[in-house]
Amino acid sequence: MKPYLLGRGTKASVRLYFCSDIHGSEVCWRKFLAAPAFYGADVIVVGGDITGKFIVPIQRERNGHAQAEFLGVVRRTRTEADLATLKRRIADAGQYAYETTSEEYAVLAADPTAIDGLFQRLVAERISGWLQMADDRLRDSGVRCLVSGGNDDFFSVDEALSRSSLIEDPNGRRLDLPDDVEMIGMGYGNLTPWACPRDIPEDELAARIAPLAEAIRNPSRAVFNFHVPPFDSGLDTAPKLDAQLRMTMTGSGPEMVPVGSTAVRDAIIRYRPMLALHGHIHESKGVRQVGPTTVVNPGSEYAEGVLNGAVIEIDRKVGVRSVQLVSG
Amino acid sequence: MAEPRVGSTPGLFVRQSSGLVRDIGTRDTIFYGLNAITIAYVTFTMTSWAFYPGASYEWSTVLTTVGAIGVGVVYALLAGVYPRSGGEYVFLSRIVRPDLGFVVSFVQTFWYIFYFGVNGAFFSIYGLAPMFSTLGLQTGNTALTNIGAWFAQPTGIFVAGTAVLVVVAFMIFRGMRSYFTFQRWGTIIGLASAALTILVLALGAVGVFHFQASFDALAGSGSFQKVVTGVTVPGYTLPATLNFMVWPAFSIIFSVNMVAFSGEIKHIGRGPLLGIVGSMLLAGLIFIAFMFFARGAMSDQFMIGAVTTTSFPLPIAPFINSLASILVGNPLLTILMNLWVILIIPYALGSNIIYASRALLAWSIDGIAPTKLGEVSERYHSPVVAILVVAVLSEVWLIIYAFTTLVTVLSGLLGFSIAFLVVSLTGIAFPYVKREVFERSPAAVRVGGVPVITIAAVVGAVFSGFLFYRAIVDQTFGASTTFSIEVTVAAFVGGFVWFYGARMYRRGRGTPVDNVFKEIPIE
Repeated sequence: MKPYLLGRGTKASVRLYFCSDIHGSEVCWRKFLAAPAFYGADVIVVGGDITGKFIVPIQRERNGHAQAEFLGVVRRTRTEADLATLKRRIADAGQYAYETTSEEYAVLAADPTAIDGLFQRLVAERISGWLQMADDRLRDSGVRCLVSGGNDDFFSVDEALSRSSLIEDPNGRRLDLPDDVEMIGMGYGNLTPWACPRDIPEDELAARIAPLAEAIRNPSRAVFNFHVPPFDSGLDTAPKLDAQLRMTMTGSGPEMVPVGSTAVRDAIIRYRPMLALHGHIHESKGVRQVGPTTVVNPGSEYAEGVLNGAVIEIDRKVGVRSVQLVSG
Repeated sequence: MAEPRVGSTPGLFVRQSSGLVRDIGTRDTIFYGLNAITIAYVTFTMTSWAFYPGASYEWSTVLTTVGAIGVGVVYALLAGVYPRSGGEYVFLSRIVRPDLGFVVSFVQTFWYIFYFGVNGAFFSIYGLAPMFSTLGLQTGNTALTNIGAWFAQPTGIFVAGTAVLVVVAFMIFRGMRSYFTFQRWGTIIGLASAALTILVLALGAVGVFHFQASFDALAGSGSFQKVVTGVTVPGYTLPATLNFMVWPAFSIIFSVNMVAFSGEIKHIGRGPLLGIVGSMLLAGLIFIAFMFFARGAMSDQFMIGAVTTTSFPLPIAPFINSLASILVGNPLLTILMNLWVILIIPYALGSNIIYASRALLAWSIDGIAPTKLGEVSERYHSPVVAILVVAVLSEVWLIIYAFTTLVTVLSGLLGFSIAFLVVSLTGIAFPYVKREVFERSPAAVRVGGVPVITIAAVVGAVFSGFLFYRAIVDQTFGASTTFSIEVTVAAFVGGFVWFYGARMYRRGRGTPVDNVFKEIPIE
């Protein structure tokens, strides 16, 4: 396989667009829905971690002004239009704006359960809006739209996705794609220092992957859509952290270490799919080979409103014909 | 379900989710910045001062530090906007155009490859040669003196430079972990050695050690007087002080390489900003301390006379590590006081090859360079082909530097200053041409209604523009050559040719390259 290179004049049987880790970014979701037209993709896939991590409380004042601290800078608004702009910017960065008062803020700040409930509600509202948007824009387009939760996403995301008549969730199941391509999905990941909703030990992850992989009919047409990348693949390199979750610095920058999953790596080596799609490690984008398998992590710059992705050409004869990383 | 918590940014609620890395500690970022600055370059910076009559070394260093901080603040703020590794390549591609981003990255990489080779020469000229020569003189061992002299000759420079180049390339190939361990200890020992040298010079300045007596004991009675006789120290002038800035700038500005270490919880006032500014200030102080105490210990007349006249009697170059060693007159201390050059310069090589090989890898991933450059060692996970390419090209530069006079110490400053100028100009325009990105970013900070990044970028642009101009016209101490200028222009033009050539090649093979960097339009 020659990544990035296409044979002159030949047409791939399936063009797949893959991105991951958009973490609630409104603008990235809109770009994702525009990807079929822009890249000419037949199938578009988000590989997990679709929900945001931050709530930005916006405190209303009696004079109608509002203020919030967003990305480390205190933002003040005087008009409703300014406030709407601020909310849009917060949403585009993948965060959740929440209008509140100083009294309510104090109550929330003292009650983790209440913050959890607020996160659940705001996440559900955004997902609901996204599903409607997808339905409006892709219905009757003929494009297959696959979205799944990742290790950072609440389980309630799965339920929300299941309500969509357009979006398919490959998480924990096998899907048939055009031209005999088949895909299995896995949103669970190996343990992280943050104890995320779908972090599980490697042996448990292996046990979840095995029946899915066994269900594959033809590995040479199979796509593993696993959120976490294989261990030590070069697509799983992240800063080493100390006990306080600070990056460990060297004289040449942060010390980088592999943090991917051994279970995922073992599965790729054992079942030899033609393609494995991953996200999770935002700063470790790239395309590699693990045995016969082309392994892709497009990275993520969701907070900057940039949608990193991969345009993948799949050919009936040669399998994965090209992978082009793109920054939309 | 993990428990949510109040975020470290006041007012923010954060839930437990992966990637929430805290900012790097200030001490670590300053350490990194100091490493990027390569304080070992103070050796030739101090020597070159003698060729700028009327220049105030100290004020020149202060002005350089201010200008470099202007550039540094731009880099730090842009890193907050686009917190991903890749530096200029990312900023400029996103804010201006992908071709400009690539060209600046190409120019930077070109010159980092150059300095990977030339730093090998520096290792020999400013590290090994002074130490062996001085030890030979102090111990009366002619063999050591001859070895020192050999390391200052083209063949010695080539051999020692090649050796250190191969060792560093091999360490990087073997993976970063062991390299980082060596580097941390090397830098710590090197900084301790530099501190010892400054202490010795300070003791010389206050009269604990007597340089004249030590020098005469080594070179013969009356030698010191011969060196200073007829040497006049002109009064300071602003033009000369400004002109000298190219030399301290050549070190201090490189702290900007620390640009991509922000976490997802952004505090634009911390992390890279403190690291860049802090390390520049500290480096400025170190540069000044060396000169201030050296003046006190040896006198201005001696420092000028030793370099600019033929009356310096010893068979060694009058670099500060040698002169400080002569001051204290102890072979063991001579070894200890040369370690800062011998240890720090190889880690400058390390930074050079890491930057260059990562750039080649990034181009390969983006499809602008051959896929082969992105090949990674199965065993060590390092970009083996990229490292090999950088090492081979650097060896060519080492040979050119060692055996010809085509290129000089400051040849690359011309190319680097173009990059700093382009980034600074981009910083001026950024809040206005990318208003939406700026406003939603952590860089959206103003003073008196004017974006801080614009203010810093104006300072940085003036400084970088001045460096660019001086790097072209300054013939003092061989700061520039016609060949250097031609190569700089060729690198810049070559970057454009490479970028558009790669696009044409890939378009011809059917790849939809036009959309690779384009923002997806949304309704």
